[in-house]
This record gives sequence, C-alpha cells and structure tokens, in this order.
Amino acid sequence: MDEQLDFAPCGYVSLNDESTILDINKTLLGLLDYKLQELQGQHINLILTHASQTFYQLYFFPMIRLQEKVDAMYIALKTKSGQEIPILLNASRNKRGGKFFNDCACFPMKERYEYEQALLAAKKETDQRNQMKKKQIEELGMLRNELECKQNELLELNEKLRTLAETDGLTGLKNRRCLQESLTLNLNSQAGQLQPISLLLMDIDYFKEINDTYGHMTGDRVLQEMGQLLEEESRKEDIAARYGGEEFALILPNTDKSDALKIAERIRLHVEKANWGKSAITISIGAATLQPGDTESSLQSKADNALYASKNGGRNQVTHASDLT
Amino acid sequence: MNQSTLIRNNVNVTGKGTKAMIFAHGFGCDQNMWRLVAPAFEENFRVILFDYVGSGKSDYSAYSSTKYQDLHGYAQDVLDICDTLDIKEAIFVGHSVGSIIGMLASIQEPSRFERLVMLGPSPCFLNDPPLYKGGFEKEDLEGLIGMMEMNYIGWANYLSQVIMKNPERPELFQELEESFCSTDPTVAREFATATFFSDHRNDLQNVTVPSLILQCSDDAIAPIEVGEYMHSVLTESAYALMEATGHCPHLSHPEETIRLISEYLKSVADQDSSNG
Repeated sequence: MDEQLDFAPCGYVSLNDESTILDINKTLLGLLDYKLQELQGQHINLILTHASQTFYQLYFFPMIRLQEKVDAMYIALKTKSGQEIPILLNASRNKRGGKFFNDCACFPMKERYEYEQALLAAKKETDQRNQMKKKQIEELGMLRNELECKQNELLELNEKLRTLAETDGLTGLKNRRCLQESLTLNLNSQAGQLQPISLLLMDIDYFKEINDTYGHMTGDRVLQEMGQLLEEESRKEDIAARYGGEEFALILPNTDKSDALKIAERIRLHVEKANWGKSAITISIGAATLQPGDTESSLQSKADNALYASKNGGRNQVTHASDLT
Repeated sequence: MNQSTLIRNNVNVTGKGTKAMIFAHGFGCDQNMWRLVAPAFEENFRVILFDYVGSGKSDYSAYSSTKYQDLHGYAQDVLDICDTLDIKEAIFVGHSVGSIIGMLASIQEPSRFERLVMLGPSPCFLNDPPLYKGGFEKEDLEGLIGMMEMNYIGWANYLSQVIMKNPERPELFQELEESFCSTDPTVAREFATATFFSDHRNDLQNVTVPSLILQCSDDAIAPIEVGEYMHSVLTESAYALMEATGHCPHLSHPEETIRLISEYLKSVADQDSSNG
C-alpha cells in the first residue's frame, strides 16, 4: 500500500467477496488497536460488533454486490479490546488484475453519533408523546361520552322519581302533595289579576260499607275506577288528585262558579249512572270558587265545608260553598 | 385471484420448463438477490420471482400492518401467487426468512410444493437456553434495529418531509429510493420485527414437504447450530454445509449454490424414477 493511503486521514480496508480482509491501512489499524498480521486474512466479522455483523450481511453485502457501491452507511466497528466505534462507511466494488475488491473508506463519527442518537431519541420521544396525546384525547372523548350517558340516565331517573313522588300509587292520579303544590302554583300565577279558579272535593258515599261488605280488594278497584272516571271527566288543564282515603279533588283553572257546578253535576251523574258491578255507587261533591282574599287553605276549607253540607243534605249531591249560609 | 396478485407482488415468470421453481428473497432486499442463481434454472424450469409486499417493486399500497404483523401474511401471498399461476408441486427456494415463509405456506397447502430448498434458514433468532441457540440475545436484535434506525428507518419519515418541501430537488427522492432496497420505514421496522422476533420452531414438525437445508459456514445470522437443529426436526430433510461464508451464498457463492440445488434436485429425481 502506498504511504499516502496507509496514513490517509480515513480508515481504508479492502475485502474480497468472502468478506476476508485483504488489506487495511495504518490509520484504521491504529483506530482498532490491531496489528496488520492480526487482521489480514481474517473475516470482517472480527472487527464488527454483533449487530454490525448482521447488518453487514443484510445490507452492506447485498448492496455492494448488486449496486457496486455503498454510500454513507452507519455501522459500528469493534476494537481489539471490544470497544465500539461508530463509523460512516463508503464502499465501491473495483476490478484489479482480474479480481474484484470491495474497497471501503470509513470515518469515526463519535461526536456526530452522539448528536444523532440524541436527535433520534428526541424524535422518538416526540412520536411517543404525540401518540400518547392522541390516546389521551381518545380516552377523554370516551369519558365525555360516558359522562353524557350517565347524565342522561340521571335525568331520566330524576324524571321517574319526580313522577313517582307526585303520583298516587293506587289510582295513578296526582297525590295530595302534588295537588297542594299545583294549587299554590295556580294561585301564585294569578299575579294580582284574579282569574276564576274552582276546586271540587269529592267523597264516595258509604265507602266503608263497600269495604266491609265486599272486602278491600273491591274497595281498591272502586277507587281505581273512580280515578279513571275523573281522569276521563277532566279537561287538559284540570288537575285530578286523590285527596285522602276515598276523597278526590279536582282543580279547575279558569272556571267560574256556574261552570264548576256544571262540571261537578256531570261527574256526579256519571258516577251515579256508571256500572259498578254489585252495588250502585254515588259521590258527594263540595265546590268552591276563588274569591278575593282567598288562600289555597281557605279555598280548600270552603270546598270541604261544601262537601260536608252535601253529605249532611243526604249525599249524592253537589253543593257550592257560596250557597252556604 | 387474478392479475392484481401479480402486480401486487411484482411477479416475474421466465424459463422454458414446465415445473415451477419459486425463488423467495429474504429480509431487507428484493428478487434481485437471485440474479446470479435463478437464470441457471431457466433452461429446465418455469422460474418465478417476486417481491414481498413492502419490498422491491411491490405495490406498497397493499401493505397492511395487521396482515403482515407476522410471517403468515407473507406466506398467504406466496399461496396467492401459486393460486394465480396455478402452481402445483413446485420447487420452492427461499433465502433466510423467505425459507420460513415458504415452509409456512407448505404447511397450509402441501400440494403446491414438491421440495423446499432453504438457504440459511432460522426458525427462531433468539436464544432459548439451555436447549436452543438461535444466535441472538434480545439486546443484539434491538441493537440491529437501532442500527437500521440510524441508517434510515429513523430518518426516512423526516427525510420524506424534507423532500416534499423541496419539489425542485427531485434528485433527493431518487437518492433515498436507491439508498436501500426497501425505503418505507414502517414496513422495514415491522418486517424486521416479524422476521427477527418470530419463533416458528413448533411449526417445523408440521412440515410434510421434503427439504434441503443449505447452511453457510460462519454465518452470523443463521449459525451452524440452527441449521443442524432444523435438519434434526424436519422430516425428510437433507443438509449440506456450504463452503460459502456469510449469509448470502446466492450472492457470494452462486456457483456452489447452483451446484448444490441442482445435485439435490437430480438425486431426488433419480430416486423418484427408480422408485416408481
């Protein structure tokens, strides 16, 4: 080897197609800490790390044979003491004296290697973070959907509870608490301007006897059917409720005394004419219409008095509070 | 199955014979690897060359990370090619992971194959002490993938962005194209994982097609112990230790490779004719 190449500022090694080291310059020998006779005639694997041996077989060898050159390939050399030296490798396939030589030139890239490692690590980290971010966003989206579902469930549940809380279990009418609230609401919405509003209180005549004669099951059925009948008789804006044991109430918004009496009479007649099976059933009704200065409790108490009067008057009749003396 | 398989896998059919001889390349390159060996069989065989999806001039758009997450996806492609070309009782010559892919295909549809010729095969690269020595520790394989990343996998995505921003410099793209046989970083990484982290030792016992194992001397990728292991487990396998060193005898020692394959095919042909 001529002196210029031997001491050139780059490593030089020449290989045959069996990957045997034919020649190697002093620069590279110095780098690897080997003597010429230790490497000449040896397989290139001797100065390659394990990963590089594999990489050499997978990439370097096919490329130098198929493309006859290799540009800027990164691999790692191994010194005599086992130290790893990252290098950049250029190679070309040349014919000399009828034989092929795979001539390689290489430069250590220690510092550049560190830079590139750091860059790769940063790039990997960024990729990972982006992926994690994507995953987290997906998870957040899923959580949000879940939350929405739960919220809807909760709303439905609340609605169900509300219905349960204001419904009378036996008749399906509103219960007394709800009636009370509706009455308050109706009076408050008057807002100084008096709208006619009437209240009917109804009581099944001799209900105790029905219970005693036919049993509670029949009594309950009568209450249920009475509920149904009231439901049928009430208008959209009316509120029918079970007031107590066999007592029912009907709030009639925008209804004056004469209309309230007409409705009450219609209901009374309906009950009287209805087919109740074994025995006839009638109801007594007390009606009251809101007067200036009335509260919900005074209205109820007036209707109650009227009902009492109907009972005393012989039952199966309608009495309006304003007709009481 | 139709013409699309032939385009997908860049299938090339040559030769004057009728009996099919399929050549399957290994990891990292393409069908060009066979250019010193395949022509020697064109006189007597119908020679079939192809690239795996993601390698060489295959249709990269056909690549799917799910299908090719392990070698069975690649084996399916071999069977697709056999189906398209109506191949039966072929001689299948595979290099390295290519021979394992052929082996998996032969387990699925044995009638497609008459013989398997395996150059430097390894059913499992990882050591599994105390009984199996694949030649690699996990760190070795990670080191290899790290080296691939340093060379191009890690940069290729980045480079392609640079290239897209420099449409006035098409030579950049050309350089990248030529720098390695396979340039798609996703494919390269996933094929490397499918190749080097797979373990097909349990499949060996299911192989019914007779085989020839061509073992290189001094092979850092598929050591002699691995070739001997395959020979001991594969039924009806022949084994030849080559003078060739390294992992690519079809490139480094094409004459010896051609001679050993020819002798094997001749010997089994003689056997067959004397038997019946």
